[in-house]
Amino acid sequence: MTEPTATTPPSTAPRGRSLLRAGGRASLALIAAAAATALAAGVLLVPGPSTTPVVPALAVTPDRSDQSLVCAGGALGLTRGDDPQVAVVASERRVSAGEGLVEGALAASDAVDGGAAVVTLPREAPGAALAATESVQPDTPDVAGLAAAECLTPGRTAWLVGGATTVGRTTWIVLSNADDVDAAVDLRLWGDTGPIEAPGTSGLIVAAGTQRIVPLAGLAVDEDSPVVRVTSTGGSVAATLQTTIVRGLTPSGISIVTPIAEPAERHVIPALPVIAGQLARERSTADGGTDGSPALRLLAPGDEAAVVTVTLVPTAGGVGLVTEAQLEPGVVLDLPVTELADGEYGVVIESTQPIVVAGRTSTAGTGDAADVEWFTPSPALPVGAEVLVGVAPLGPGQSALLHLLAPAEGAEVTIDGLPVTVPPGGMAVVPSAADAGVRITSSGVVHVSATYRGDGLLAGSRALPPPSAVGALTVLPY
Amino acid sequence: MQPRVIAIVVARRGGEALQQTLDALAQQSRRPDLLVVVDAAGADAVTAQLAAANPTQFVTASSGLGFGELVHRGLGALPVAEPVASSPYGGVEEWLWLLRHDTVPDPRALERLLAAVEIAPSVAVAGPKQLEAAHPTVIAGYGETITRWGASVAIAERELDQAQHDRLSDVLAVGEAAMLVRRSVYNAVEGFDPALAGVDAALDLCVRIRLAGHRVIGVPQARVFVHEGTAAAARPGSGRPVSPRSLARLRRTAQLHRRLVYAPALVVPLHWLSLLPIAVARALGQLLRKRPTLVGAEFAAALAVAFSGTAVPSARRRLARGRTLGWGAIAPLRMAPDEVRRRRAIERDALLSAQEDDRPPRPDFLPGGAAVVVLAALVGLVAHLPLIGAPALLGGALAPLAPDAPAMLAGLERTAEGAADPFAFVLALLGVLTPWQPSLAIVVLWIAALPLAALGAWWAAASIVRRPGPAAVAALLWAFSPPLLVALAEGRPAAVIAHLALPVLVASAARAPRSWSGTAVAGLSAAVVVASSPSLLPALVAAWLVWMLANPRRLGRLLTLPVPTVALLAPLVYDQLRRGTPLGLLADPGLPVPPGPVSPAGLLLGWPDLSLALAPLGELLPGVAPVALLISLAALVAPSVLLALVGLALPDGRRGVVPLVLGALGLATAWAVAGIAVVVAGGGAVPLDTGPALSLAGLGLALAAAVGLDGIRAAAAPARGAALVGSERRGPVVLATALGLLTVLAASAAAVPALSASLAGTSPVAAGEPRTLPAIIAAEALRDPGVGTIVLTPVEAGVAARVDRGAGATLIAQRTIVVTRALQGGALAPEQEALAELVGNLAAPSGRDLASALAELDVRFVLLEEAAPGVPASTSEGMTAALDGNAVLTPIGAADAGRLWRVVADDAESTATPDRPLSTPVVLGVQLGILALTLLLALPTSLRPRRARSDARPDEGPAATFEAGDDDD
Repeated sequence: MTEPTATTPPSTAPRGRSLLRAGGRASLALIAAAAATALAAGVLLVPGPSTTPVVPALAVTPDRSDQSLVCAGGALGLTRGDDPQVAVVASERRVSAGEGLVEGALAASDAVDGGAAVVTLPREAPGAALAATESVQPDTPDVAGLAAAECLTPGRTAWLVGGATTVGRTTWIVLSNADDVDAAVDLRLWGDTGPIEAPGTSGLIVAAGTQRIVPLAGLAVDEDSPVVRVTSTGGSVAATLQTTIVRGLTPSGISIVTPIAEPAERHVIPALPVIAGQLARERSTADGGTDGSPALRLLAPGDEAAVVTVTLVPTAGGVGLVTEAQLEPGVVLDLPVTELADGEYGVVIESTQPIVVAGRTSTAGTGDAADVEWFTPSPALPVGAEVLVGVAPLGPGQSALLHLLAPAEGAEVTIDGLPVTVPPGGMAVVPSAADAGVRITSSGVVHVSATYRGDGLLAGSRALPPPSAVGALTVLPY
Repeated sequence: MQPRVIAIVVARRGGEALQQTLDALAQQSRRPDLLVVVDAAGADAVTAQLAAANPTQFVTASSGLGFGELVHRGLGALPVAEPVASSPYGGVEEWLWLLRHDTVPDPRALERLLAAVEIAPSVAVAGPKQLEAAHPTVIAGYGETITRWGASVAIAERELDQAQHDRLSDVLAVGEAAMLVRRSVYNAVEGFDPALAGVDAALDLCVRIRLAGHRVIGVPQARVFVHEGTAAAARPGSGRPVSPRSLARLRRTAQLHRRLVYAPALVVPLHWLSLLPIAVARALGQLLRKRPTLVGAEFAAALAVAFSGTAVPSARRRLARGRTLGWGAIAPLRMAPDEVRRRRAIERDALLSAQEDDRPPRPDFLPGGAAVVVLAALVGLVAHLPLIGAPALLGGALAPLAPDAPAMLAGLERTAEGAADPFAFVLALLGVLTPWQPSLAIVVLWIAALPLAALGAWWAAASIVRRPGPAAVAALLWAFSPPLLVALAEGRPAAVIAHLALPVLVASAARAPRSWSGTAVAGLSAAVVVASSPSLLPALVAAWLVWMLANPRRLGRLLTLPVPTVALLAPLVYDQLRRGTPLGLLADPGLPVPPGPVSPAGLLLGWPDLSLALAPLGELLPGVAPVALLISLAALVAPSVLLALVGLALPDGRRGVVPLVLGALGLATAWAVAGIAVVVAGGGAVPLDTGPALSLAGLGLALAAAVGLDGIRAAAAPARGAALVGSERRGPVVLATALGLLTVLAASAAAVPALSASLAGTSPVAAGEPRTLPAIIAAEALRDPGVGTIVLTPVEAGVAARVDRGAGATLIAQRTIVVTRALQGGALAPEQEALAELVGNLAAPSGRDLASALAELDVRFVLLEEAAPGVPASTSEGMTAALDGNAVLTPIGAADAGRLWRVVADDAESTATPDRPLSTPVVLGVQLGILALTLLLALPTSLRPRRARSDARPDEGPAATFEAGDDDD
């Protein structure tokens, strides 16, 4: 301490010295202030040292797993008698393609004699491709017509667009769980007046290895244009709709609706065939129905209205018919596609918001024969890769066609070795053998469907891309 | 009959003292008959000096011999053997007068000694009153005795001679200086014990003479002036004073030797066996008495006596041969126990009063300090109301401290993963406060943080300011300082603890040069600070070096300051250096959670995360530009900065320099660490926390501001030497009070948003159960604490994965050695790679059978946490689907923490115990031992001196003499 101790006689401290001391202190403060300013400026202006370690990560490609497809099962109807029960009234025919696959079946079903086939490609199978498609042709007093559906990879969400619950229309929701774990399924419904609140739509348990069948009429009564969203937790389910029409007393068609995974801003329906359209319309209007004419069912499930542009692509090429429509959020719109001459059409639907969509056409044949079919948009097939497509087995006198639609650029497609050219923005329709696995390779983006037809019979199935080969997952372990 | 006196002068060195001795001998009123000099100096000058005294006999001896041995040599050189004495009452009576080179007898000393012995034939030894040569009125020694336990005690020592001992005659023993001993008796007891070189040699001789049936008396009229003490005189060389350390060793060695010699033969082995245990116990006692330098003396003495060879047996035989009486004969001459106690009490009081005189004035804690602490406690209580009653805190970097006490111990051990963090020791110390629920200690810490901060800052400020007002300002500034509030609001326990420990470190380090206790407290608090915030280490090391330069006299003591820190850090340093990642030592301990965003402006204003101050303000004043908010915040910080700088210009302003330098060090550290990240966790790099560095900056600022306020008040005091006390000028007092209030109010205003974060619910810190994983896992963990859970977090780069054990992450189980692995260069450790493989096949559909891999890791649950912001929802959904579809997993459902799956595997008990190196218990034992010893040294055992009242000496600087002594002697 520089301060004099208390023993220093105070009178001896001259005035000059204390002044000097005060000056020293003041300059000390000034120096400190300057240093502080310099430090502050340094902190503000000079960037500090910077170093960051590399975050270690490992890209892990998961091992191949068993690949399963779950089929929809046979045609459903009600048993005769006082206590009608859901039953399979006609069993399905199935084609499954793929090397080393194993076929199995779900053990239990709500439907009498019901069940669904499960086609599994074990992980040790030599090939990776797998496809299966079923067709069914019931002919009972209640249910008649031809239906076909590709077998599905079970998923967590499914949007089912199609069916009706008005008089004479019966729609079943078929939920198949081929997993080892139970699935808890929530259903959500929309109609032409908006979302439908119904009891019993949530927490539906689909036990592992079983199939549940839910009548849509129990959830949405007298609904003209239902859309169903299926979400499952726990196990995954394969969800389909089966819809049948009885006009008066005449069974007038069956269709199996396969699901869309997620709403999207662009959908492509490669096949919307109009066959004997005029006759079908006439027959249907006879009983006051409107489901005889071709139509698109659209729903924007989000919160915002969507402007939808629908482009009809004719087979012959050339500019298609373009229609615009406004979709209110949450309200299902059945957009009639009238005045269509018989022919093969494709539909490209573009929207400003994610939507779900499906197309419907009807046909009629000799006698009372009539059929209806819902065509769900087909996803794009991977470019350059070989895709296996199942073409359903058919009865005598029935034929199968493959519809290929390239929405943007043209594509060179090889179908079982046969080259087919699809023009840009156009489509190609080629006949195909039934009951066969067809291998399709494309040089560009194409969407592919198959249609099946006979006298007053119409059905369709889709070509699905192989379940996306799971890419490498980047894992960042601690 | 005239007795014959043989004076023996034992000279180890020459000089003034020897000359005086020889001159005094020559001037004796009764001259000795024979003069024998023993030259043990080995210097020609001394030889000449001695020869000039015309001795009868001149003996040269080696300087390494003890006093007794030298006397013996001198006696051996006598030409005439002692005549065979018939009886004490007839014939020639010979007396030996033993003098050292430094003992100057009074001219009549010999005459009076002889006069005393002549009238009492039973007396065999007579000793003069020894006075200090430098202060002839102070008694250096007069008579010696032993306590009941055998410790030697001087009857009078370093007392002012007021004739108070002059009535004392019969004593147990006298010192060897100018001792007059009957030659026949001396020979009969075989002289001095050669094992006692100096200390206690005369005591032992006198005891044996007493046991041989003779008397020992002190003769107060005979005076001798001694220059050196017994111990110093026994050492060859230049005669430097004996250090307290050596003196303690010599005294203890002599005592232990005498104990073995005097004890009954049967108990000698017991005494021998007890030498080392007693040395350990006494060493601990020395630590408690703040005399760590004497620890070595205890062991040196015990070992020297334990392995002294034949010294004890020969001394025992010598005693047995000369002894005629039982020990009971000398019992009345021993010092009574209550007298021993009385003397110790007097000694303590004298010490205390000496300290009080030395004490720099400091403000009283009551009532000002207590009021501030109570205020901070109330604010802390209200601010953390939502946390009261919680068993644990979660959120931010908070997690349960540890599930139980054994887990805390395990957290301290060095495992195969690497060394434990020093912070684990801090947490364990915290956890043992509430051993039934260690996590509760964190809750208590959160609620008590504000008052603890105020208390610490008060203590630190009180050591540099003289009035309660400035200290209170510093305490409040510290309690409401941004780094603490940010750490509390963001849930960073390490930063909170560092903030609380910093003022303790500064205050005790300031005391360290004067006090062993202060050094130990500083060492421990430095360990706590470094453990909680390793990034402060460079700044603290710099401060330590400067402090050593500033206190060169206490260099040795300050050198021991980092011992606890080193003990805690050493294993981690070893592991990090061996791995080649020294930068990893900077890693913040605890849960690796990134701190809030850092900005240069925030650093300048002292806010580690500026958003905590600005975001609430921005909501209150939506229209105001962010720059304006920043400027207004700066205006709130400005008063303390200005006060700190202006304070330098005021009287005694230099006290503010050290705090300001500390503050600058803190700011520079914050600037340096802000951009550095050394930890990788949760799929991203975790930057270092700038909070503790800003705490250091804030502490410097708060203390400097307090000094400034103190300086304003000092200026208010009347000019030095003015006649009237208490006539302070009013103006500066009002100014200082107003400035202090302004500073505190401004700082509090800036603190309000951060302080209310918990109440407003904007803080991530929340009361919770002592687990981070869902309850079902916690229940399982009760049965099997090793149960593993894979925790997946979708992040932008992929999925972050870790394995948690038991009920989830605990603070004590965190190791920076693990999370700094990435510094090695981004390669994955084998176990990380295995986990990544497992997770890659778990979080995506895969055909691999994972049951065995999961069982190997003892994983029984998989938790998918909510995705980090910015990750598309489909990522989580895809993982959920993959996990749902996996046959080895059963979904349990959604919990708060995310979606949970249970592994369906067999319920094999976990057998995996963490393997740990063999050295683990040794390392942990050494670490805990060092900490315990430091704690012993730190414990305040002496009475606290009453503080000088601050208002008693208003304008006196801290006494310049306070470095003279130790506080804790």
